[in-house]
Amino acid sequence: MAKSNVMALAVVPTMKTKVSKTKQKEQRIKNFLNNYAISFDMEDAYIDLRTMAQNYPTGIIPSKDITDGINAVLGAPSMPRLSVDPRKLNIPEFAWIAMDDIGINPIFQRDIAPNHVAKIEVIFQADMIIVPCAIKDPVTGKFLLWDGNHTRQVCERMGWTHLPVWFTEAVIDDEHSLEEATKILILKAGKSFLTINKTGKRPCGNYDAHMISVECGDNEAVTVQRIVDANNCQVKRASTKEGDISHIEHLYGAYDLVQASSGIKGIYLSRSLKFHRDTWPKEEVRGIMMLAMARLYQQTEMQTGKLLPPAFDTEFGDILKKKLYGQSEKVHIRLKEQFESHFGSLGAHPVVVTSGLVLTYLKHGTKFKLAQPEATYPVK
Amino acid sequence: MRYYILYLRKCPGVKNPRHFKIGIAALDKVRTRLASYQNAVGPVYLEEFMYFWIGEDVDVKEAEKKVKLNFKSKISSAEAGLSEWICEIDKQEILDYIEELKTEHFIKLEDSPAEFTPMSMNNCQDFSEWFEETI
Repeated sequence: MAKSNVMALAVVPTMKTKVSKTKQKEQRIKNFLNNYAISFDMEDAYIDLRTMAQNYPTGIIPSKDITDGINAVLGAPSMPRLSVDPRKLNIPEFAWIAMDDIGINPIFQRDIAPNHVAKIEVIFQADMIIVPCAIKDPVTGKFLLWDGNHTRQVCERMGWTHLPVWFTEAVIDDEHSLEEATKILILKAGKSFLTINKTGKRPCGNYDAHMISVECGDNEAVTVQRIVDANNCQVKRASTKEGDISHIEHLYGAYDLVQASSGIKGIYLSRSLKFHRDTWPKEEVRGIMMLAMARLYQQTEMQTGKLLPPAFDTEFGDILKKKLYGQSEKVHIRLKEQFESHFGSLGAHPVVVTSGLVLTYLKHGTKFKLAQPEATYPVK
Repeated sequence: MRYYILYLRKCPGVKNPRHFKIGIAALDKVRTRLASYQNAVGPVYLEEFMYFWIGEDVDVKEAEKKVKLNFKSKISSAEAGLSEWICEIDKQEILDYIEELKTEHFIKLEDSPAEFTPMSMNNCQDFSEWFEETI
């Protein structure tokens, strides 16, 4: 096949037809971000509000600006902003309801969990309450909760006389009998319960929990963050750059390893981060490698009575990086494969990778005594 | 473990290209991949991978991810068919970055042998056979 003279032709753009939805969205986001000096991530799954807030002198983002951002991602809403006054809809109404006027209809409530009540009771603060929701039963006049039953329980055990409640009432008119109206209301309560607790529930992720805890001054989170900072790393929702840590569960897992001799947490996390950054300075911190190395340091100190010296890091880093695998990501992937190939299935990742690292050093290292591996399998 | 290639393409028929597509293909699928590109342009042009690198699956996939991330600002759209094109760039910038991945990120990639570079339908079978013998 020979090259033809098409090579000489100028290529002209041909995409002048209808603009795709993806392209429209990209354009909306681009236009929106043009309003900001400091750019921030805007994805379907999240808009980075922490970085967005840096564009405002007070750090407070007006509600309207967040709405504009959401509209850029989703497209224009069905109703113009500020076009509906919900106070005229009378749903829901708010009231302080006497405890004895509150009830539970198990048709649209789950069983109550004493252990969950106990859990909330420990952290309960009067000014932190989320207002329970209810329907007002047209037959008994009782306020039947479809959300906040455990909150009600805690308040009652705290001696409260009244409970703050958002509630809706049945519409009883010429078209709806009392029976029909009650039925409609119960259906609404059931659907609301499921929507709030199942369909619409968005649990707080580990990244958000860490960042909120740090910025609100939680002791443990601040300590973890300081260790992260000291090792020139940064906690991110998704890791893309050198030193980024996105596996928050393993971050806290490594932090939680206690040094037996001192009773202090965080020592092995710090060592592990230093090892990772010194060995792979251009790579994001792989969560499982961070945890596995912290476990290796802890187990070795526990069994030998000695914390491995920096010379170990240099020797082992070279073995992993130069002699065997290269990038950190490849180390844990290949160790898992070798474990699976030997045992036929994969075990708990921290055990698999920690053991694999110990076994690798025992095979290739020369200078230091390590802990016994938790599992034994052939390694490269 | 499988072997892959990381490849760099240009727009068909363009002299002095400024837009490049980065991509990967399993070694046993290289011919099929090239054939798809060749099919799109027909007999008037010989499609080719201008440059390519060989490595294990983990390394090649990581390299592709890192190239796309590093040149994210040069990828003009996430739209299908456009999300892998790095635009308005000197190819040397991409080649330098891939070199950096090898030396500073410790991603193990082997440069393609000179006799198979660029790779086209004319020599891809020879390359596959060479690799089978070499591995």
